[in-house]
Amino acid sequence: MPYTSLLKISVNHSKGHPLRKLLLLLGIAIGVAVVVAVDLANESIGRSFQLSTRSITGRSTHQVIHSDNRLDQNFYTRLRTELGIRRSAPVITGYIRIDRLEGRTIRMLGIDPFADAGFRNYLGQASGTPNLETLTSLLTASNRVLISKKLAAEINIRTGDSLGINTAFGEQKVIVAGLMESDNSFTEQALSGIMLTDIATAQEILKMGDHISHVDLMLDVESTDLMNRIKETLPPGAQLVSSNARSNAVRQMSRSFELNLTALSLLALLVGMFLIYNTVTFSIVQRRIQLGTLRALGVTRSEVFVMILVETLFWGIIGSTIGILLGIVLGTGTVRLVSQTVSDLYFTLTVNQFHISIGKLIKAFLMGIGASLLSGALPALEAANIEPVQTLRRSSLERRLAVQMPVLGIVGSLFIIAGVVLLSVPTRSLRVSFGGLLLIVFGNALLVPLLIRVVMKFISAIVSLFKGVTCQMASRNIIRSMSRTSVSIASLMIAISVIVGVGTMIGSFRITVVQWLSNTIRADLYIGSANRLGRELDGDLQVELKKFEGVAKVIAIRSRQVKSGPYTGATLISLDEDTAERKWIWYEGNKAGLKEKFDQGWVFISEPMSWKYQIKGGPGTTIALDTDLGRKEFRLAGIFRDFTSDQGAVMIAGPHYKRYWGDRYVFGMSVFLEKGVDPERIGRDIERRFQDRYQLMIRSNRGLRNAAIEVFDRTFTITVALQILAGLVAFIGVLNTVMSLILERSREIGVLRANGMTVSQLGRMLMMESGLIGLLAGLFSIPLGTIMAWILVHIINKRSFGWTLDFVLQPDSYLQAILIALVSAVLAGIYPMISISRKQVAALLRTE
Amino acid sequence: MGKKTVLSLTITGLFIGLVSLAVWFWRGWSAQPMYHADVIDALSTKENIDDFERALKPKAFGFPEDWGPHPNFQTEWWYYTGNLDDERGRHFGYQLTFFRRALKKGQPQRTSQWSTHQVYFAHFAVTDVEKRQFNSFERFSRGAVGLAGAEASPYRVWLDNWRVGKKGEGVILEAAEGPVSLKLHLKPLKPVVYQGDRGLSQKGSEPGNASYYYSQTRLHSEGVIVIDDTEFEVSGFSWLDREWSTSVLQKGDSGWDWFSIQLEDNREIMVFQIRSNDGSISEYSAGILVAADGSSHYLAKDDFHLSTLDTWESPKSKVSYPTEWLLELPGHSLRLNIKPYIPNQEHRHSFLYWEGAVAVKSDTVTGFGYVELTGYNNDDRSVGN
Amino acid sequence: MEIILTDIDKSFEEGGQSAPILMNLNARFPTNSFSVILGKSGSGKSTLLNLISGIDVPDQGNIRIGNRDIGTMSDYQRTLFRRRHIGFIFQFFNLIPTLTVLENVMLINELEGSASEINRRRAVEILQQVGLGDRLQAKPDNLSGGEQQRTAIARALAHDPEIILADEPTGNLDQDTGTVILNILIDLIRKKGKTLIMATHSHEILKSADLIFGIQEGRLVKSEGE
Repeated sequence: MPYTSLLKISVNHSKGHPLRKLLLLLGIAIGVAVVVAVDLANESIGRSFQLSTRSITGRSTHQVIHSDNRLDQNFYTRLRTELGIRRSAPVITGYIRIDRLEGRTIRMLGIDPFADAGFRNYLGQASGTPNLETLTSLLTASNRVLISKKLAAEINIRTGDSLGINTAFGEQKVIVAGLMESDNSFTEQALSGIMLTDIATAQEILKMGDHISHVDLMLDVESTDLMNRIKETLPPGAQLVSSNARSNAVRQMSRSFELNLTALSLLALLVGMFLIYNTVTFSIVQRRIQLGTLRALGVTRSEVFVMILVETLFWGIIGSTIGILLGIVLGTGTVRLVSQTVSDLYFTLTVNQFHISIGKLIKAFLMGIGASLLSGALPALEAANIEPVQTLRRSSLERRLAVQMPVLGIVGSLFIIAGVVLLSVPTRSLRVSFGGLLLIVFGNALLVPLLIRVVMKFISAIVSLFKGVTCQMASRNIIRSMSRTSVSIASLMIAISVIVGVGTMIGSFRITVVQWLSNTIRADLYIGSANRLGRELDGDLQVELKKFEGVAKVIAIRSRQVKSGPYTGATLISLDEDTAERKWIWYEGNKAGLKEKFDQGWVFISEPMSWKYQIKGGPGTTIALDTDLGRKEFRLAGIFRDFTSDQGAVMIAGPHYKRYWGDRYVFGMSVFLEKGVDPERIGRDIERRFQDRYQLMIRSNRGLRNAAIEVFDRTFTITVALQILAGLVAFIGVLNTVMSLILERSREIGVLRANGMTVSQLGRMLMMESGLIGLLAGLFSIPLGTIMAWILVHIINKRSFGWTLDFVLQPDSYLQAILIALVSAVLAGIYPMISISRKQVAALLRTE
Repeated sequence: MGKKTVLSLTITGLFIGLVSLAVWFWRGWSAQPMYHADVIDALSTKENIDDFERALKPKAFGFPEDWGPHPNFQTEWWYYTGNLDDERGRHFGYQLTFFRRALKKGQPQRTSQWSTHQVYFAHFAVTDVEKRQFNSFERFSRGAVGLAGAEASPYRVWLDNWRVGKKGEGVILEAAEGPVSLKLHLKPLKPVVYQGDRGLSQKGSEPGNASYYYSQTRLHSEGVIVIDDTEFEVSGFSWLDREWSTSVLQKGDSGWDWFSIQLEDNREIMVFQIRSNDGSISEYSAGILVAADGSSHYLAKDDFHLSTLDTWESPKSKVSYPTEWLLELPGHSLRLNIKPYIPNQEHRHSFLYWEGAVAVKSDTVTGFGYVELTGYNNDDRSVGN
Repeated sequence: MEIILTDIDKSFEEGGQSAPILMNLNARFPTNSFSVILGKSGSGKSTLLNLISGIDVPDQGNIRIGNRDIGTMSDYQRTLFRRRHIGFIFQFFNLIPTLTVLENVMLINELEGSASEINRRRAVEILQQVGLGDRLQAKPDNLSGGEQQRTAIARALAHDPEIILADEPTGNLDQDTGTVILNILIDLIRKKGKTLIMATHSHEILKSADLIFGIQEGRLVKSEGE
């Protein structure tokens, strides 16, 4: 039989049942959409990062940076007047907030227009004539800035208007001297994260004294001679680095986070696959007679198989297309969430628009189709096996499943074993870890029929204690239609276990962090600069605070980014005294001696640091840090648990820090109060006392903890969003299953109704069935979710970020899981129940 | 007013230079420099100049102060040109010019040392006659944090690593870019001469349309020129023009031709003529003749006569320049034939002009000099894009 | 209970057209009578049974059972009426595959909520009467056709309805088995005193019937047999 006529049959069949088709499409579409959205979000982050990096570093090949972001400007003068390096440009950058942007942080970029021309391209292919007047005013008037046209429109500002900004040193007005624009929307995008000024203005606004942030250079890679001469000229604390190496180091920061998101999105696709399987199976159920007739007429098994697959392919294509469109819409929200997190945790990023990469879309499209075909293959095989007459009973299909069940069990167990093996490979590769996790999840799904059999025995036993044949029928229907219900239960189980797993992981993480916070945050008050845009506090403040009435102790915290050497990107923290109650991963000698070692100049490193750089600890370990006095080895005293950053932290005692980095600025201060003193009152007093000189942000112990927790919670918003989507996919899966179960039994339902079953009795029975599906999925999801959480906590998180978390079971999430499973299953049962109740009994009896 | 031409050129240049700087700044490295040559338009923009001091009457020059900058005037330059030979007689011409332009009067009252009202820019050119090669470069910088500037005592002018600095009796000139570098030791052989009326060089009818202007017409020069890794030990003579002003040109002027000539008999001549749109020569064209003993003689418009003998069209800019002249000084019995060593000594950076080394011949005496020609692209054509 | 059908019209939508099945049909089935309805496939036998049971409603006309008018009842009332007063036997047995033989028989009383011990006893008793006393816990899938139909008969009688409706009860059985089944059924309803209406084309049964009808052009006509 030619395929064209088979296709015609397929297509004609598809014309009916619009709702079911919609569900099928939705299943594929949501699965694909989640993948697309996460992909696009990650891609956009990367692309925006690249763009905003380029808008900052421009075309520079190298940079001279300073460990303290304060490079002596005379160095630049010498570079040009003595070394004659023309392709060099001074840069001052820092973060500011714009009042009208609801405090959004953007970068102030101060450049020397005379030197900068070769490095940055602010207008792209500029249209219109550049304005001499603008340039003159930038150079000669103070506080003149340029912002992008886009940003100007967003905050409703025109050239000449004054604009309130907030820096580390307080509020200030600037005047917009002109607008930058680009006809490339992405450059425009990057531009809108920048406030451009003359370097003199930036130096004044950011209070840089006689310093600049760094020098951009365009150097010939081969000119080692020149590089050596530059290196000889470098002032203390300055480094000549390659621009790419520097931005790559920054970019690497959020990679693990993004990879985690990708893995979650794949999980959504997996759930989507179950849904597709479900739906395709469903459409075969509807046509069993038709397919049997076709077989009787001489259509071969392989022709039936191909017919079903082609049909699935057709829906796969449409569903994937919808999924991609949906993903793009979804992506905009995702981008916002993800970029917020990246900005919170890694680097400030302005992404309002997101990048659509054709490659990624094609990838997602193919994934959608691949998943459709893969999940359509089994039902297609089932269809191909339909006997030439319509006598194939459900029971025989079920009997086959019963035979296959041990096989499924073995295969599932093998999957799980493979997953465990993969997870126990001592690798740092997250792909391998996620691969292992997915294998375990999939293996569990294959075990679902066996589990159902076992658990239903108990449930039936319980149900039989109750009166009422409807209950028994419901519970038996689950077992009877195992080939349908198990798929539905498996997919719901996976979705719910993701909720349990991720919930438990976040819960554990949160508990660990809260515990850690209370161990680390010991002081009564924390004083910092009013925002995180810069540093303005100094030793004088510390001295004066110590004299304050009610203050027992003031500890200065100094901090800087390690900008060169082997530990680039880590944070260096200096404390006068370490008051935290630390949890040690390793320490040298005895615990009591740690304090003394610290005071002698030994350093502590954080656990993520030890993970990232594979510093195992052990007697005699040293850490090489670039100091203002050159590279210096520091002895390692201990490795402590820390969640400040996944980039690692080195902790050193104040006097040693000052000796090697000579930093007069203070990042913050911990203030310990005398007993019985009201922190709130002292805080207000301090603020009032110093308000002329400093813009202090004073936080109480509790306030600081809450702020930290707030950031923590925001970080996981995206994860919650993904959970919801997975849940939605599962819901549609259950809906499909219940509909399919009911359709298959229309005649049976007709008989029941004919024999006097009332509509409400029927409804109760059907509700009970979907409730049981939900209950089983919820029950099964608890162990799987717990295993998943364990893997997330002990393997994935450890490998991604180097964090050791306390694994804390979350009973709430179990209850939540069962509830969500039940509610979604029961909700899914409502529509099919209503539609079958409306059918004429006579019509039901006539079916099949 | 010998350097009126240069003055006008400079003002135009600065202005246009800034415009193109702005363009450059916006469009980035890849953009070609834009030529723009509507001189009169540029000069008639009287932005802010009322704030600046004007050259209204002769002043008493004092040194070393007057080596240094005069920031109350809008525009100022240190203009070194010269003709040099190596031991084998290979001839070179060079130009190293520093311009100062104030964007605004006075000192900025700001805390950042980067803030300044002074913009410096400089031109550096070397003519290699044997190879018929002309190399020219341009730089801009703010006059701040030691990147560029001028000081009276000790005398120095610099922009990045191009610099002029006091050394003993004379100065050292240093500049390098790309394949070309120059290092010369200059020693004055004659005292400073004051142009115009005791140093006040009137450029137009209006009071204040004038500059303060003095020159060192013969500076013994010795040093090294490097082109493409080849070193040439050179010696010869250089010429310095120092001039500062706030406003100069007037309506109707279209451009100027400036000549500085050093004769073998130890005399020097400077003449300039301002050309008007109608083809006539401005009344304020003038010059000077410095005798071997250093005494100087003012040349009024009618004391000299210039006639063009030939023209040359730049293949790049398509602008046509006069390229051979007859300069007649009847009062001094001189008929000098002036001809560029090579025709193409055209500067094509932020603004377009011709400035180059010339050979001077006559029946009685020979010499060499520098010629500057501006305003020949007044049809406002833009080239290079 | 006596069943009286008055002026019944019933048609079905087919391809947008209304195809009349029953037209102006009148009939009376006396209490405790055994009526047989003969007719070709598609003549409307099943439809007639569906109307009597309240599974379907007529387009026009009255159906009175005992002193109740089925036509005026709601769907819920009809359902309750059905499970109290009517027993059903289908051609394809239509047992519930998830329930055991015993449970199938108990089903209707369970739906009615009758006390389960009495219900159970009654069900076992009737299953013994149809000869399946030893197959109580078997699943329908494991029964032969005859056993399935015997179970169906037991189910139809278990709740002691006044009326039994049988739609081709032997249509799916071989002749010998069919005869056995019919004998069991007729035996039981005679013993218990039920009104039985049976749609069939089996002629063997006619001799036991009190009344014989045929359906011609949508009407029920009395026939003396062929």
